[in-house]
Formats: sequence, C-alpha cells, structure tokens
Amino acid sequence: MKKTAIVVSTAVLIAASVACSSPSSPSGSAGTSGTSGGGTSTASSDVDADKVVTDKLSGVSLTAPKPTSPNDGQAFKYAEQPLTLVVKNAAATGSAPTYTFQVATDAAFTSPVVSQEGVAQGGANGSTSLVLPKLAGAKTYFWRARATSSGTVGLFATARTFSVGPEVVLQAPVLASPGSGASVSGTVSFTVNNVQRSGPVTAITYRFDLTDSASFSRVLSSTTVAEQPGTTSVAPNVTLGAGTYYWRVQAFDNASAVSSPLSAVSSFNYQPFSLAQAKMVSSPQDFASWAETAKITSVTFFPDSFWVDFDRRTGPDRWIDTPFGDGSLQYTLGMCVNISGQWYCSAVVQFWFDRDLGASGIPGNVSFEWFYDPIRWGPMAFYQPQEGEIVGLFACAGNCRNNDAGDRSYIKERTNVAFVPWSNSGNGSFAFSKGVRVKLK
Amino acid sequence: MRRVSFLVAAALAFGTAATAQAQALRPGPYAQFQTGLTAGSTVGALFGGEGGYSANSFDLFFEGGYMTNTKSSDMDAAAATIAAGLTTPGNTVTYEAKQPINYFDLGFWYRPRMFGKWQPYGGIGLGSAGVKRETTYAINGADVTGQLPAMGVTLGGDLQGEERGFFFMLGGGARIGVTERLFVDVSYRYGHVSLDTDTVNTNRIQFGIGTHF
Repeated sequence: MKKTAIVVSTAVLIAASVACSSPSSPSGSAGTSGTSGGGTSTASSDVDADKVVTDKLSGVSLTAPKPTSPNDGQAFKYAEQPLTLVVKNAAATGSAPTYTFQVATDAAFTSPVVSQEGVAQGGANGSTSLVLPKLAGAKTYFWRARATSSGTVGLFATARTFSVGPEVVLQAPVLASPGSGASVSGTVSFTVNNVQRSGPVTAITYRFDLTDSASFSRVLSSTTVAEQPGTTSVAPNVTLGAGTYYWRVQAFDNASAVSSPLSAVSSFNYQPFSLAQAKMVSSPQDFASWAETAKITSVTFFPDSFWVDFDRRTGPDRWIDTPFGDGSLQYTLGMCVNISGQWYCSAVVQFWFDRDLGASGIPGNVSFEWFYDPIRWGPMAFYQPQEGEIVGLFACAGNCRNNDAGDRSYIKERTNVAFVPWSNSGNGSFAFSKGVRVKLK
Repeated sequence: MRRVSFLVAAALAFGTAATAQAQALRPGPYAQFQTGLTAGSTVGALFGGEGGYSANSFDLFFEGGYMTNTKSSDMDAAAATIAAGLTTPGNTVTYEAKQPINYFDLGFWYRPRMFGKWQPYGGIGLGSAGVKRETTYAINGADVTGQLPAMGVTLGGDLQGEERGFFFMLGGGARIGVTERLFVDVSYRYGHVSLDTDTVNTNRIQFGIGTHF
C-alpha cells in the first residue's frame, strides 16, 4: 500500500511539473499572474502578440516622439519660414535616441520633401527640433517624426499638418523722381513707381532713405509711407544744405513680412532756395517779404502749355483783382530758375480771373515767350530750362510783370514757390498739399 | 486545475512522508517534486520536478520547471521609462513586468557522504531555458497593451518577447531521508541562460519532496 502511494504521488508530481513547464503556452504564463510585484492580475493573453512581441529578446523599447510644434493644422505665412519642427523627446530604454523628421505633401509620405535622419536629441526642455529649409508656398504639408535608439527604429508619431501660404514677391522699386543727377531745390520730394508684385500682397509700404554718402553710411532721413496709387511720393522732413545727396527705396509687405530688394541708388544735387536771396528780375524787389497767403496746388505739363494752379485762384476767398487797362488782373505767374548757382525769379504771365491756365505758354518756348527781352530779364533772357531741371513756380497777386516796385498789386500777397522738374516735352503732373509736393499724378 | 494537481501531489507526498522515519537514502531511480522561490529584483515562485538515478556517490538527473518571474531591475527600469513616456497630464500609467522562464537540464550530483540523516550534494546541469518577457500597461486602470503600437510605442526585447537559450545550472543542497524511500530536498541552484544578445541569471531556493523507487 505504501509503495503504491509513493508511486502514485510521484507520478502526480511529475505530471504536474511537466504541465507547468510548457515553454510557450499562453495559458501557462497567464496562470501565474499575480506573482510579480505589480500586484495586478493582468493576463499576458491580453497582449497582442502579433504587434508587440518580438522573436528575440533583443532590442530596446521606445515611444514615438510627440509633436509639439507647430500645432496641427497651423498656417504660416511664407515669409515666416524657416519653420522649426519640435517634438517632445521619446522615452527610450536604450541609448539617447536620434530622430528622423519627415515632411511631405501627401499623408502617405510617398515622396517626402524633407527627410532628415540622425537628428541628435535636444536637451532643452526635453524636446528636439529641426529647422526646415524653405518650403514651397501655397501648400499643405504633413510631418512626422520617429526615434531610433540602440539600433531599434521606433514608430512614427501620428502625422500633423501645417500649411505655408503663397509666396509674396516684391520686385525692386524703380525710382521716378528726382532723376539721377537732377538738381533739386525747395522741398525735397521723392517719388517711386509702385513695385511689381506677385502673391497675396495686402498693404505695401515704402521706406525712403536719404543720405549724403553713396555708401549710405549716414542716413539723414528714413521715411516710411503707405503705397499710393500708381506712384508713391514722400517729402522727408529734413533740412538740407547744398550738396549731392543719395536716395533709395525699399518696399515692404508687412502682412507677409516680405521686403523687396533695395532700389538702385539715385543721386541729386540739392540747391537750397531762399526767396530772400533770389534776385527778382523785372518784378517786385521786395517780393520775398510779401505775405505768403496762398499755396501752389498743382503743376501740370502739356506739350502746348503748362498749368499752374493755386488754392486762392478761385472760390470765395480768391485773390482780388487789380485794375489793368480796361479790365483787371488777378495774378501774375512767375518762375525761378537757377543760373550758375544763383536763383533768379520773375513774374511774367498775367492772368485775369478765370483765364485759361494754358495761357502760361508752351513749356519748350519759355526762352522766347517768357524771357525774350534782354533789357528786362537780363540774366534770365532767353533762358530755357532743360528737361528735368528743377524750376520754381509761383503766383504773385496783382500785376507783377515789369513792376519792380510792386505797386500794382493791391494786396501784395504771393504763393509759395513750388519746385518741379521741368518738362519741355510736356509730360508730368505734380500735386501739392500745403505747399509740399505729394504726388506725381 | 494545475493548482489542484500541485495540492494533491503535495498532500500525498507529505502524507506518506509523515508516516516514515528518517533513514539513509537508497540507490536507484528517484523522482521528486520541487517548489520554492526565485530571488532577484523580485521574488517569484517556481515549480518543477527532478528525476534521476542514484549510484554510489553520484546521481544522474534530469530536471525541469517553471519560474514565474525572474525580472531584473533593468527590466523594471525599462518598463518605468516607457510608462513615463506614455504619461500625459491627468492620466496615470501603470505597468506590470514579468520574466517567466521554463527550463530543463541534464546533469549530475556528487554526494560525498552522509551527515547523519543529511545527504549533501552539489553538481551541475546543462540544458535549455525559454525566457519570456511580458509587460503590460494600463492607463487609469484600463489595459492598453494591445493599443501600444497605435500609441507609437515600440516594445523591444527588453520588455516583450521570448527566446530559448542554453541553460547552465550550478547548485547544491541536501536531502534528508524520511523513510527508506521518501526524502525531502533543500537546495540552492544558480542558473545562467545564454541568449543571442542577452543573458539571464536565476537564483532558485528550492524545497523538494521525492521518493526512491
């Protein structure tokens, strides 16, 4: 009996032992749950062996890096490039991971536009980043990242998207006036042709730089103005002495943060003008002391005339008329020119109220239609301004022609002297606001 | 069912042993059931069996068994690293890491002499061991192990997988004769499993009960 019991018990022992030692039975390992320190009863059969169980006990474990920036779906302006991709570092049980970043235009990443491997893990804030090269505009991009540690290549994190807006391109501005090498007097006013542009431009501004050195080592004035229709002008608030100056322009699209190339540099020769120092020829000698009660508002050149208008020519506040023969005169149109460094001014063309502004004459005939008499106009006789030459235009209340005493003006008032580049060909139109040239029409 | 088998076997064995008196072991075939603990980073259980033939001062033996968890501190640290990587604000990630091993080996014991009722022995065995690693994760108590790939997690062989390798055992202990046939066995057995790219060491503290035929 004892022998039989021993044999039976031994057989049971062996059977039980063999049953426990089944090397790969899932139920075998599940049956031993609860023996580890975790204290949970999770069975190993819950593990998806096809996905997570490896054949060999080699390789390390790691998580996918978590994308943190840019946000999913974030939109960028083209000019905000270069963009930086940032991921939260992966957790890895092996060596410090390196990272692979991919950027593609399709969700399947069939042809990544950026595929950067071996990006070293960053230490700052537990994140790793990659600065992207400039990407094409007007596209949506998908991006993802994965980590590699100790030879184990991790899974890609869920892809995110971002978009890059269309590229805004501004061509270099082309300077309009003053022309290169021009002489300028009075209030300096710069005009630039509005830039050629492409892309979703919103609001363009222009920065006008003025300097007295060709290298722009010392900028005297830098004035930024919003774009105006066709051309854009500005009169910098700066006092200039005689000399050569240089200017250039750069355009900006602030919304897209795009800037144009700098324009070509243009120079001009500034000749300070002082009415008190100008020599009045065959006109009131004390003209500079007359009250400046009106402002030139526009100068327009035509092939057959040039029109000069001012703000008190018409309207209820217009200058009063002065008797002249059987009629009356309202004002006399005058011109200042710089001859050999000296300014000469003379009021020549008489206008009665509402006379056609074209009575000023043909621009190219000034030499003999205005200053035809050497006795009266002396140094100005037969003077013909050159194309682009800066001349001053003004109006003198009453009859100021051949009137050194100025006594044929009842009110002894005048406009400012407005400076424009002369046009013998009859091209050019200039507007003024409060005496300052604001716009090339 | 398996647990019931163990209990029945143990009851039969101990019941038989209780009726006997200690005496010298006899030569010939023998078999024993073994249980005990594995000591390491964590304490696990083991179940096994051994059979052999005793002749003079040597036993030729074959043993096999199952160690429920032999995980190392490295495995625990690796599991914790991944758990930390899964943690997000407001979520608690827990894990359970196990490293069960099944083994068998063939070897010999050298029995120098009896010390009263004690028969000390020592020896080695060579064989094969299957090492399995399994780690489960839960977020706020819900098992997410099956969703780990979708969560971007790659579990390497340090946390998941199984592999069989060469097993070397070095151990020693003592048998105490309870009856002419029945004996109990207390032993320590060190094991070393050589895998392709890793090694696993085990420490078994065993209690056995067996019989000579």
